[in-house]
Amino acid sequence: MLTVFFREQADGALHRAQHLGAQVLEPLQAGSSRVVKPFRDAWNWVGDLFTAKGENKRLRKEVATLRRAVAQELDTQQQNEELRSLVGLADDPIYDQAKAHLVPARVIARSTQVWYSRVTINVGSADGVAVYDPVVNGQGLVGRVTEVATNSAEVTLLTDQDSYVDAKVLGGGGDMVTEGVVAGGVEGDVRMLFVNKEAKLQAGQYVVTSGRTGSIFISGIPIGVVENVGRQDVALYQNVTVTPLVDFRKIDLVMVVRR
Amino acid sequence: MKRPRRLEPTTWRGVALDLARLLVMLLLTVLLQTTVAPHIRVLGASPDVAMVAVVCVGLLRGSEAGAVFGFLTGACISFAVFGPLGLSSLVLVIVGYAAGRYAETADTSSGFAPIVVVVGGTALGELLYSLAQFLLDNQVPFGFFITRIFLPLIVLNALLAAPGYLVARLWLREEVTDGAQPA
Repeated sequence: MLTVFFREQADGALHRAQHLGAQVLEPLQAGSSRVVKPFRDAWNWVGDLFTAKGENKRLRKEVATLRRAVAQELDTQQQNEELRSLVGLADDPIYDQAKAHLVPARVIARSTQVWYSRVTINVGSADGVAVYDPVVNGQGLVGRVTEVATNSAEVTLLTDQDSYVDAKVLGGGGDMVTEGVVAGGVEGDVRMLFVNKEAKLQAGQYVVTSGRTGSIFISGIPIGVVENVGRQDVALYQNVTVTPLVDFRKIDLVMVVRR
Repeated sequence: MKRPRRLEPTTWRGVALDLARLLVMLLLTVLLQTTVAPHIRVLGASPDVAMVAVVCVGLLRGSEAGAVFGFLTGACISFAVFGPLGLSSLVLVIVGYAAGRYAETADTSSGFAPIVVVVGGTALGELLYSLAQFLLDNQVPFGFFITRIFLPLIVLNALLAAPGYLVARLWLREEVTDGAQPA
């Protein structure tokens, strides 16, 4: 069965059977997820107590940084609007993004194996969701849709080892835009691959989707922050570690981006 | 030490009721495994409720029932989370059968027996899962496997084994005495 599943087409008999099974289980999972939510929250609350002290200190520092970033962002935005009004770019990426339709969804199940970082959401083809649709939340990019049933869909998270997202690094000065591919790892780590060795990167720079032609992702969706940059003389590319903005342990409500 | 006798229902009504109980247990196991267990993180790992349930059914109902229960549990989990169809079934059918065979051939009267079998089943299951990942050409870092999956999961499942077995035994108990004869 395992062999046939991996060898058959996406619309093969076993895939169809799986979708049918998912359709049957979806209402039960949705109900169960709602029932246990208070208990999950209580568990998270206990866990958070242990990390609250350190978290508080870190957050205060981050708030100060973010205030500065917001001031810079407002300034940039103002400049951007002015430039847009001057140039009048008809195919502005932000315009394209505004045309995207967001479908709200709730996470109803998670992968049961540590080897996979995937979740199941309660919207599917009946809601217009399709494979490859990006999934976001208020913090940034969550992942992409990889399987769709009628009323549910599988989302492969950014941290999954089969996740690859074309991305670019913001800021840092210079004319060169640093691009690469953000990839997940089995240990939950997120790395940026194929980063030009000449690019000047430093910790704290923001990483967003690049939205290159043919990409499934809209340009500018926040992914994470550069955590560490490693260079080796013998390596072809830089070794960049990225800290995702999304807290994948606590995702509950997400938005599927329909294009 | 005398091995406890496994009792099985002999009437049609008894069999139907027993199947219904197993079906309810299967459904609850799948829901717990997909909606609750992933949120409980201890030492970086989440408890494998399905593994504990399959071992319990194997211990209480024998190798055939354990294997069937394991297969169905794995299939339902794959349906629920869009996992590779057949992978969980393959692992759990082996674990369920092995737990059942252990109950049929060894002394399970000791209170530690369920814990020992759950630990053994978890170790076997995780080795099979990691082997499958290796064959599927996925990353399987040895250090990560030992420290973040294997050892934490064995500890967590060992802690779950006794209460899990108790609940399973209570849930499947009444039918055993309903017109049953010693096997």
